[in-house]
Amino acid sequence: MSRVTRSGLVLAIVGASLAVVVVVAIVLALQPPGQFDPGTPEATVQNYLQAVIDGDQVEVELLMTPELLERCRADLDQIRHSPESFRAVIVDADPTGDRVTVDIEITEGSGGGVLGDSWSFDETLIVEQRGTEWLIAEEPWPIYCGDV
Amino acid sequence: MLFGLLPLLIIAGVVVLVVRLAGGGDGTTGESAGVAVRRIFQYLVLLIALVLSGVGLTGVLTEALGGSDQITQDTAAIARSISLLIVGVPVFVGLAFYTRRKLRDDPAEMRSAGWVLYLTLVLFGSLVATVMPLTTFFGDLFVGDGADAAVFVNAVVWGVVWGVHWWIASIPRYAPDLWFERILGSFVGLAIMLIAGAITGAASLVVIYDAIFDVVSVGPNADQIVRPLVALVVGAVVWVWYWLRIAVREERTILWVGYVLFAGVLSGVAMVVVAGGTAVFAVLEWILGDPPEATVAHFEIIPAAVGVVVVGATTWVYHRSVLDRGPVRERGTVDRLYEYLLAFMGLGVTAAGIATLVTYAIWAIVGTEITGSDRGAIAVALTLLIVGGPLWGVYWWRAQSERRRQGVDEAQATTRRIYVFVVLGISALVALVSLLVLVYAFVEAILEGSVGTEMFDAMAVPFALLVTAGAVAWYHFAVAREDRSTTPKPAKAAVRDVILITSHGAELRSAIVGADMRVRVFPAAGPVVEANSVEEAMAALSGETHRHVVVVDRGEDGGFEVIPLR
Repeated sequence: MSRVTRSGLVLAIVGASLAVVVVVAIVLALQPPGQFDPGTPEATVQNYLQAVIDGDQVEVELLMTPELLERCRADLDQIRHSPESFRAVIVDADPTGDRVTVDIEITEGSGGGVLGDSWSFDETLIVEQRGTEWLIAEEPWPIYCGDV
Repeated sequence: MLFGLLPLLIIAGVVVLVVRLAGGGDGTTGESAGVAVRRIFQYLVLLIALVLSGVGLTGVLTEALGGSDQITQDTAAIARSISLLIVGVPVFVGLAFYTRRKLRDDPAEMRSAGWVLYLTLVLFGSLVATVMPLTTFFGDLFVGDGADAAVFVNAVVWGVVWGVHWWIASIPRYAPDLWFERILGSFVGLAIMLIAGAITGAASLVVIYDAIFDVVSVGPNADQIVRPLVALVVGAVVWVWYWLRIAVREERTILWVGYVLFAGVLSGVAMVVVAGGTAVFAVLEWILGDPPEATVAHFEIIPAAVGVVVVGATTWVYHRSVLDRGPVRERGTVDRLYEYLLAFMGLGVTAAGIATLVTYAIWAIVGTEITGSDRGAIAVALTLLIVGGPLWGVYWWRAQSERRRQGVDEAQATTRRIYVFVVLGISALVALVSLLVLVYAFVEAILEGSVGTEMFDAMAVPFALLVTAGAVAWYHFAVAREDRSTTPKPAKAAVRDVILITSHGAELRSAIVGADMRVRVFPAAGPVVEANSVEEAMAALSGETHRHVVVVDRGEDGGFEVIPLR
């Protein structure tokens, strides 16, 4: 029986550990992101960003206030924004009266995941309560429809 | 095109010749520095005159064959071409005759570095200057707007230059050893064949795929198949001429082995790995992601990848068989360099994949992400693992097999030590920087009072890098320790007892003690008495007045030594 060397033992431990980590990582990473409770500002922002990535203009229109929709109608056909890699995180949600300013950090990239080319930037979406719904009222990234 | 290469060729030639001159003259022939200087300028001017003549001739012929569709005349270009001819041709012809006389009168001239370098540069430069326009000419002829006179003239002129010099180099009294030029020519043919073959194979299979599955896309047209096919044929001719006819049977020097390994085998491996990875990514992206295009259109990349894999695998297998069917050779630095280079690349790719997956896993656990469109990045990470893992595994396993087989010779090989310590160094550095970023993120979150999911979200990347780099560093540290343990320790003198009988041996005693040996000194009272027989020894003992005497039996030499002690 060949003698097991120390480096072989280390490789077996490291390899087995990494294999477990990789399998768990794949399973976790493929889980869909958690959904916010419907009827919350965060849920509106989440649905809006997903519609932007999917280029779902119909869904985007449903999530905008009528005033914003009127201002942005000409630009809505350019709403789709789907880079090779896209990740959004809600950083802060600051309520002011019947409006909430939601700050998000967006990370886009190309190439090999976190070790490829990626860049992060901050955006703000302002949502306003209309009845029981929260709708995008201002700054509908990625399109800019001009000030009121 | 050769005009553009001229400065590079001249600089290369001058550097090589000056190095030889600095080495004390022309080392190949033992001639003096004066002869070496003469050769530098002779062949340098010969080369320049040849290139000027060639450029001038192509310019004049191009204008002459301009054709009836030419409606303007570039007088400046014509004047330039004629000037180059007027100056270049007489100089070249004069120097050529001078060189011919020197080659005939002095056999050492044929072996001189200047002549070898001149032939090498001219043959390589004219080969490239012929092959490129030849490919363009036939491409234009088959699928373009018809043959272009300028392209044709370039191909013919530089082709004639190549042919004439090849013929000269084959004449016995002018023929030096052009082994390096043969390798260069083989490389030119192989490079053209691989690139053109991959493009042809990929484009052809995509066209067939589009036809079978009725894919409506802007796919390859005839131009994109015929032109690379023409280049493939031209490259194959060059490769057969240089490699199959000549170079494959050359002596297996380090450069020859290096060419086969790095130009032949390594390029094939790289093509297979990259194209294979592309195909794997396409499959994973389709499984994990949500590509917008239809399935059939999405997989249009697969036949292209297959084409490249076939070409790469062919060159890999062929060059590997060329190496293996030769005489059994000892494992050398070139073999080690090849294996450790591929192992290093595989390790880097695998580590990148692992770090990416761990990062996304942490983000998933923390749950801060609100969109789910990063499946593409996960597909990339899995592809890196699938491609890099076997690459590292195969070549590292081979290296470790040699390590077990050869023991200390392989363990202490410079290439292996460089590999192990570079990997250790890089992974340790990455781990250190990642740890720094981790601690910084933690401290910043504490000071800002934002300890929570956002903090963990920010720590995901450095943590993943720390884990990955740490695992790599730990394993290679164990390997380095094992390699070091096989280093034979210098033999330590076994401590032993020495009985020293001496009348004044202080210096010897000090030397023995300094060699870490125990010594007992018995002072001799007088000179050694030689006895050739037992009787003589007894007689010496009887006449001895000292109380303590040492008698040494000289064994096979016969006789005894009687040493009185004080």
